[in-house]
Amino acid sequence: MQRETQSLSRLRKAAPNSLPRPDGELEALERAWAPPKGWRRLSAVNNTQVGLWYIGAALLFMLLAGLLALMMRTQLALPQNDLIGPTLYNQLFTMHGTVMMFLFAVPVVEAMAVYILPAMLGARDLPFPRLSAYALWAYLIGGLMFFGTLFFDAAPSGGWFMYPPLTSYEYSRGIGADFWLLGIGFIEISAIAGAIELIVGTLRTRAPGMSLGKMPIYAWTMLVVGAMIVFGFPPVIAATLLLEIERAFQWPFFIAARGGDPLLWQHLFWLFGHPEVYIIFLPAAGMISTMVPALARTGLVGYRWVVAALIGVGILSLGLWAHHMFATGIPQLSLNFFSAASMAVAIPTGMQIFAWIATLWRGNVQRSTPTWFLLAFFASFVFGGLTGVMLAVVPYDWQVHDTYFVVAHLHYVLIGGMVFPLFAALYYWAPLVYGRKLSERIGTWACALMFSGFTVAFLPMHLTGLLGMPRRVHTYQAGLGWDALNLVSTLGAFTLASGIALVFVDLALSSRRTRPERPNVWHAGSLEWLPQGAYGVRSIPRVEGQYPLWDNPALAPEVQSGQHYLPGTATGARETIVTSPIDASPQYLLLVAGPSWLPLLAGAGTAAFFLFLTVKLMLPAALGGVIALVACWLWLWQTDRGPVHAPVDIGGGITLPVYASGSVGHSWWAMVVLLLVSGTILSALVFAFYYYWTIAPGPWPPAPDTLPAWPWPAAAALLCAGSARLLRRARQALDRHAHRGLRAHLGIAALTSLSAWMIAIHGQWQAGSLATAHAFDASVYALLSYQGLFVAVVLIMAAYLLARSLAGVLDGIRRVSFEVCRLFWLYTLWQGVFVLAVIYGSAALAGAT
Amino acid sequence: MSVSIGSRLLLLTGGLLIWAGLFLFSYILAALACARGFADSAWLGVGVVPLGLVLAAVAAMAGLLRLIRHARRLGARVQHARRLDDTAGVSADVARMVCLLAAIAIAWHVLPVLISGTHC
Repeated sequence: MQRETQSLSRLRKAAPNSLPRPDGELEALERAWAPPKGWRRLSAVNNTQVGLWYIGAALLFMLLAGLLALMMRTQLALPQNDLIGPTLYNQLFTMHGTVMMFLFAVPVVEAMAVYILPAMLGARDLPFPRLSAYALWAYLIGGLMFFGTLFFDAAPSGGWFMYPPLTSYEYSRGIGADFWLLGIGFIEISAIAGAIELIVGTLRTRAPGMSLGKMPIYAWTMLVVGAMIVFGFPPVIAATLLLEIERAFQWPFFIAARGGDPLLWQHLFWLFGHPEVYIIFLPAAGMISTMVPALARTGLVGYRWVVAALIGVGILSLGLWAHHMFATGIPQLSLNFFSAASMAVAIPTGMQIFAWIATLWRGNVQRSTPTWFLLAFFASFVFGGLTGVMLAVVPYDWQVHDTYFVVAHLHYVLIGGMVFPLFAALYYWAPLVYGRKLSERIGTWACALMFSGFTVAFLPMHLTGLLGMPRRVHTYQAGLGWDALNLVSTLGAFTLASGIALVFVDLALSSRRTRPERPNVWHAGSLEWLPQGAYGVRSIPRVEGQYPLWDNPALAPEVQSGQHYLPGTATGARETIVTSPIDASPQYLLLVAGPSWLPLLAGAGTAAFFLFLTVKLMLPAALGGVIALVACWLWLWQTDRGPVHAPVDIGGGITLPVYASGSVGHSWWAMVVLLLVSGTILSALVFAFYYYWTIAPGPWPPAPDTLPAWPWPAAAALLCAGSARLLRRARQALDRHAHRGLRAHLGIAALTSLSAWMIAIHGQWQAGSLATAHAFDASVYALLSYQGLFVAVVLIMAAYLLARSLAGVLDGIRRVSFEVCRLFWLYTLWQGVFVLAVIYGSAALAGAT
Repeated sequence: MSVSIGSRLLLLTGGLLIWAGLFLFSYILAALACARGFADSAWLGVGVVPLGLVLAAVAAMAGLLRLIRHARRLGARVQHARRLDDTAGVSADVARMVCLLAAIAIAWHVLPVLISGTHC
């Protein structure tokens, strides 16, 4: 802390670096960050390139899903229309919802962050650029293959939330549901990879001086959203795993006849599904909080209130999941809590809206396309939010559940709350890509068409729903009062589509008139409007307020001329500064990974593994898995380079090391976030385990003798503890540079970890427990299998560390790989003990063992 | 005084984490009360479930008060020291606002059960 304070005092001195800068400094920086040319461009990993591809891919999926929506609206334009049959219609609405939610909405907000956030934080790149590239390729290749199922009549048809028993093996025999479960499962993994990148990037790569109190609201938003992804997405990963296992191996998690419960799926799905609405909305809110001050030429009113509101929405939204389940017959007592939480979340949302209105009121608003889109947002989102409060009232929800009223509400929230701000953002930040504004004329027309089309399409749907039209019907009888309303909605949908098409025309036209410079056309105060090259900023700015470009009008020329920190490349490689998470005090220089084919190979291999597995082509699936594994291995091998350079002077009297291990290192932080994800998946499985207890009509467990005698779990737990002890010895050996001792302890610890798991599973098997017999047994095996997955990863990690030790690239100094693997390993061991305690301890508590 | 990011995040989110704890407790209590049939049970003439909920809510509110006091002391220290860096001041303010949100959410959470009863 003393070191941090000293650094901060240095920050307050003016001009960290002096002029003139040495000859060749800028050229060296440009060489280090030169993007690959020609077809090698696909190996690019830096955020400005990957971010753009990511945004483009997400918009492509929006267009594809939008086309499906137009097909559905054409079918519904007239009663008893036979243009599209019920089977295809089922696939269309399933794919529309799935693609919009999983392949457009979440990826596009992460993609925008990948592109904008580093520049806004004053970083040269995100800390793990190859991870971003991997997330992009896995998502794009997997997403396209998933969408392609429509052309082979293999698309899922159970709705975007895939409720069993409709999607169970008995009622959905094709591979459509499997495509959904495996495809979406791994796309979620890609989203989590993005979240890890954004969390660590926000906390550790902010410009010196950008303390938490000066952090842009958009960065706060992405921090909250990252945390929400960490805690919100794992339940659906757990759910998709359980349903796929049920379909593949008949473990009866959701089959009522064998102790399961289809409602468990709904709980797990909506534990993810409701936070997801806010995961989509909050980044849009962050963009609005950035755009509104720039467009109104005044600071955001109520910065601290908005931060509190973001935290409020983030946490409250995790307690709303059952408000999608009011009509399922869950106890009225429980409904009370969910209804109350659903209404309470409107308060922090409203706080943000009032802050934006107050900012616009106080400022001098620029009349431009982003402003029009923001006004469209206000009108539609507030309307959608209010119908949301109506739906939070249980008796009202019962009346309109699964009708077009809900369809109207969710589109008002999602299009109003995310699409309009996104399009405002496209127009607002387009000058960063094109060097100039997009066409104001086309943009204004596009906004008018989109807003009017949206209103004409979705406003009447409230009435259609109140008149009783259920969602997801492929046609309807004439004369029920729905005919005119549906026709109007269809006309509106095509008008909305024409507005969106106009935006793409504008983007295409502008791409032919690109300029190299990035002018601050809105006179905004945030750092992304600093002059930038392929390397990001020439020198990393010192930040003194929430709006650095307003606080110091000379900042742009100072940064451009190299007067701020790290005005070039100190090591000849790509670098950015890692700062402390609270005060943003410089800590070390991060050597950022450069272009590589490995993320592309790993992403393609991962996608191939999951998708070939779905169609039961085991050999290609195994090949995909091996490619992914080898690519990841090689990729990681290159990352832990050790202190390859002496400490460097970044200016202002600050000298930074080029390597850091332990809890200071950014990799350690990424692993901690990954472990939070792992722990949350485990919590979802434990939730399922106890859920069966609450619904069990008789004794629980149903057959107590299917749990092994205590010596088995006790032996497994002891072996876990022993393995942890051996890891400690391995660390001590590393400290002493005792390589043989390190290898011996690592090898024995790996075997001990494996033995612990094998003893636990053998004990269960020996007791006569069959996973197919009952949901209780299935949930026990699910917990043990989850542990098995972690043990498998631990074995790979052990092999990796042994290989590094043998290759001489692991020692007492070059040790990040060891620290990170050790953290995961220790978590695995304690998870093993916890799983055993849950299974055997709680069964004993229930009086069964 | 050294402050870790963990304790700072805990301060910022503490109010709503208390709400989350109460929410989890209520959810489990309701699930067990309805599954095991003690939703309408009473102790000394007072319903067990409403009593449990109110006690938990009182404990949660006490936790919030403690957190608000802690945040206020932090804010006062920042003002007193006139530190240039405003992170602690922002954190103290945000923590208090989050506590206020949590207090509303907790009151709103318990009220329906007291009004509409504990039917399953």
